Amino acid sequence: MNRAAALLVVWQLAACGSGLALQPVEPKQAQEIAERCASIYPVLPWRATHVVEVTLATGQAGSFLGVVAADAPHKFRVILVSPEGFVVFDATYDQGNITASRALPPLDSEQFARGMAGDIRLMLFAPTWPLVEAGHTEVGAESCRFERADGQTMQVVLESPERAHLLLYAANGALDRDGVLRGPRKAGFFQEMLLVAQGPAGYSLAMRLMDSEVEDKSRALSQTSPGP
Amino acid sequence: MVTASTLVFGTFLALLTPMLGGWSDDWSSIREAAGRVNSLQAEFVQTKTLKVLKRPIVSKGHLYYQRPGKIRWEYTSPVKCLVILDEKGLRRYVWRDGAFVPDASVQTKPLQRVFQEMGMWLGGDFAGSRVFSSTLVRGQPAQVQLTPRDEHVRKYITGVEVLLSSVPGVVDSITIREGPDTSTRIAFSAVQLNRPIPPNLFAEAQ
Repeated sequence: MNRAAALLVVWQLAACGSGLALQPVEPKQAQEIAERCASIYPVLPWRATHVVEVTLATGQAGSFLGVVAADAPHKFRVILVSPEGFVVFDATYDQGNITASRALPPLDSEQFARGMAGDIRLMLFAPTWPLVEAGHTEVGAESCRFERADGQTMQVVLESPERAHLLLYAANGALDRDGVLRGPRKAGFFQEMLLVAQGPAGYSLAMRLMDSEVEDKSRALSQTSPGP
Repeated sequence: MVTASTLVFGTFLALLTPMLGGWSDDWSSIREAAGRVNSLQAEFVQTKTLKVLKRPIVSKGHLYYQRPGKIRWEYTSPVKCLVILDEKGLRRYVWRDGAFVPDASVQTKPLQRVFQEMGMWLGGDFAGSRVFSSTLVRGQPAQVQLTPRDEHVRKYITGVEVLLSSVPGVVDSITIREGPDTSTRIAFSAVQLNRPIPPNLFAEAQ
């Protein structure tokens, strides 16, 4: 089966999937859209520092300085620093495993570590799930849909050169995460990232870029461990 | 360019200083000088250094201190937030939608301990700490080195250096080390001593 036929099949398979419906395009154009969807993410390896504002569904709020150091799509380190300068969380994500070297309460649960790693991957890393559809939304925005074997889907919508919309759906089709990347990009990073986690234990994240470093390979993550 | 007169005057001052005796020569002199400071207002720059980053994270804000142990530690950038310590304990706030709201992000007990210690250091009390043992390193400027007594605290803070100012009773900077390559340096400037501070600054998040 050639590439065009394969894309046609996946469009048909995805027709009843979660997310915004996409109008199909020619395979060559679909390929170009897929490349543009991937281009919204910074090129590895990199370091980024954000101001992170968390607001829980209960109204409780907190702020951190968030540092992410990434070497590969499946490997990064995240450090949360309190505004007063104390490292309150330090963990490394590697191929789905999370190892925390420091996690002060209430950030010391595995659920928190997994949720945060998932949010970081959603907003800062190009999806590694198979691309099942690329096309235009009803309003003409370019969009890509990715699907995991368990039925979770993720949609990237390129609303403008300075704004992208990220939608993550659970296997049952319910919207799980709703993210927006916006503002002029600096070294591949959007100035602002907003994320809403749905559900009764929901929360919102507002992340403002403070600084970014595009790393050279000689200063890899492994050379900066251990310790904060 | 350094002129001859500047050089002579500088040498004269350098010779004179030990004869006069510094406020930071010993613990009792430090306590005595700091005891004359009833209130302090200052600006601060906090520089967080992490091994993983080439450039440090820089935060700025204002400090208000009222003897014996009231502190208002207010960050203006990059995160607008507030820490108040008084006899009721430690309260942390973050700025949301134009107002300060209570911060629920981390448990305040460890932070309270550190801020209580900072209150003691700002008040010139280094020797009375149950958390840190202290060593005075004489010099211009003098430095107080604090080492955690407790193994548990040492997991998070390996040491603290407090640099004393040439102004009696004033701390120039505090450096908190969390490991060999991770530190937080807080440098104070525009220090004003014994000027009245409105009491509500310590009572309310405003």
